[in-house]
Amino acid sequence: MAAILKRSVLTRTNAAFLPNDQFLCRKKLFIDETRGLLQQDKEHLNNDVPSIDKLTSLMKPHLLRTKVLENIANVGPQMALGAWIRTMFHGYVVCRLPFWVPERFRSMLQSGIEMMGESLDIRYVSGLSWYILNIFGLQGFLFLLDGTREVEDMQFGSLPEEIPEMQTKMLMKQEKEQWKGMDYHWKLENIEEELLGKDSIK
Amino acid sequence: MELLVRFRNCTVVTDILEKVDRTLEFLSFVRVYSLRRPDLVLPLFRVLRDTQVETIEYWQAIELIALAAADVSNYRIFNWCCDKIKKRFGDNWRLHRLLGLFHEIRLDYRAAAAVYENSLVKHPSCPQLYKRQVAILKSLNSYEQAAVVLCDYLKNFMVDEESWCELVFIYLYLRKYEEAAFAASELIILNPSNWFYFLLFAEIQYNIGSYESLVTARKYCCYVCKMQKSCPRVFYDLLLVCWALGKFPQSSKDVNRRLLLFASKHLRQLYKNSSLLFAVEELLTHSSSRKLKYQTND
Repeated sequence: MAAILKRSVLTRTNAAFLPNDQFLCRKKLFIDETRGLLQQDKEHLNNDVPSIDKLTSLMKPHLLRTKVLENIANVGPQMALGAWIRTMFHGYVVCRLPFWVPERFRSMLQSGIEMMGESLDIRYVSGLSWYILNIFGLQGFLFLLDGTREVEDMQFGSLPEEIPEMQTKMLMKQEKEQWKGMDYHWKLENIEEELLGKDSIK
Repeated sequence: MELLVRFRNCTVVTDILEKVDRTLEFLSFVRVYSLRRPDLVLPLFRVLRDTQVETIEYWQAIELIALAAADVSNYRIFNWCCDKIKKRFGDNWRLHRLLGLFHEIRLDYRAAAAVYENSLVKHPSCPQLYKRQVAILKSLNSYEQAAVVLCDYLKNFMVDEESWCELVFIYLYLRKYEEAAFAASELIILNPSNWFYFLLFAEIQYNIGSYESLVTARKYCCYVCKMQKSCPRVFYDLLLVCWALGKFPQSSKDVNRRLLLFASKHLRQLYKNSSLLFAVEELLTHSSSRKLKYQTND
C-alpha cells in the first residue's frame, strides 16, 4: 500500500512532465471507479502482501494459545535467573565508593543487605547492586563490543514498514481527492518557443 | 592499481586482528565496486575461516567469498560458506540466492530458476529473487516471459527505478514501443532530474512514428537540449525527428526549419575541434538535401 501511495504522490508531483495522453492514462490507473489502484475495496487492498489482522488473530484460540505459551516460556527462565542472581549475590559488600553519596541512593547501592540497628556506611556497594548496575549500565558498551544488534538489524531491516489499515484508507481517500481536484498543465507545451526564443517563432 | 595496493596491505600484516580488519575492508571495497576478482578474494579465505566477527561486514565478506568460490568452481569453499551462513541465519533467501547464483555461474539456468521459484514461494516480498529470475529468462532468450515476471514484480514494487528501466529495454527488444513509452514515462515520474529518461522517451516516441508521437518526441528533444547542451546524441535525435516531421503536411515548417538549424549549429560546435567534423558535415548535408527533397514534393 505504501508503494501505491508513494507512486501516486510522485506521479501527481511530476505530472507536468507527462504528455496529455500519458497523464490521462495515469489518472485512470489510479482513480478508476472499478479497478483503480486507489480504490479502497478489500480485494484490492489485500492484493500484494498478505497481512494478518491482529484483532482477528487474537480471537483464534490456537493462535492465542501459542502466544501465551511463548510468553510463559520466556518469563519462566527469566524468573529462575532472577532468583538465582538474588541468592548468589546478596548479603556481601564488594567495593567502597571513593566519594560521598546521598542517603536516597541506599536502595540502589545496598540492595541485598539488611542490617539491624546501626546502618552501613552509604559508600559501601553490595554485590547484587554492583551486578545490576553493571548489567544495565554497560548494555550499550557491550553491544558495541559484540555486534549482535547489527547482525539482527541486517536480518530484519529489510522488512517493509507497516502502516495501520485505517490510516492507509484515510491516506488513500485523501490522495484520491487530490487527483480529482488536480490542475494539469504540460510543462513542455511551448518548449520549442522557449528553446529558440519567443520572438523567433510565429 | 588501488585494488592491488589494498590487497597487499592485507597480506603484509602479521597481527591477526589488524589482518582481519584489513581483509574485511578490502572485501567490502570489492563488493561496493562490484569487482569480480576471485583471484584476489579467495586467498583471504583462510583469514576469515580462522576467525569469526559478528558484524555485517563479516557476513557480507563470507557471501563474497562464496561467490568467488563458485566463480572458480571451488565446491569445498562454497559449501563451507553456505554451511556457515545456514548455521548462523538458518534457511533464508540470501542463502537461496547464493545457491541460485552458483547454478547460474555453471550455466545451469533451469536449476537456478527452480531454486529462485521455490524461494519466492517462501519469501514473496524479496526483490532480489525476482530480479535474478528476470536475468535468467533474458539469458534463456525468453524476453516475453521476462516482461511478464517484471510486470508482476512492479505491481508490488512500483517505485523501483532500476526495474522500470529494465522493463523499457525488454519492451524495446520486443519492439513493443507503446508499452516501452509507458515504462519510460514512469522513469520520468520517478526521477525527472535525469535528462537521459527524457531522451529515452523521445526516442521511443520517434520509433512509434505517428504524427502526434513525433511532435511529442520533438518537444522532449527540445527539453533535453535545454537541459544538456553538450550531448551530441540529443541534437542528432532532434535532427532525425524534425526530418521525419517534414514528411507530414500538417507540421509547422517554420519551427522545423529553425530547430534543424539550431541542432546543426550545435552539432558543428560540439565537433569543431574533432577529427569527426567531416562526418558531421556529411550527415548535415545529407539530411538537408533530403529535407529539401520532401519540401519540393510538398
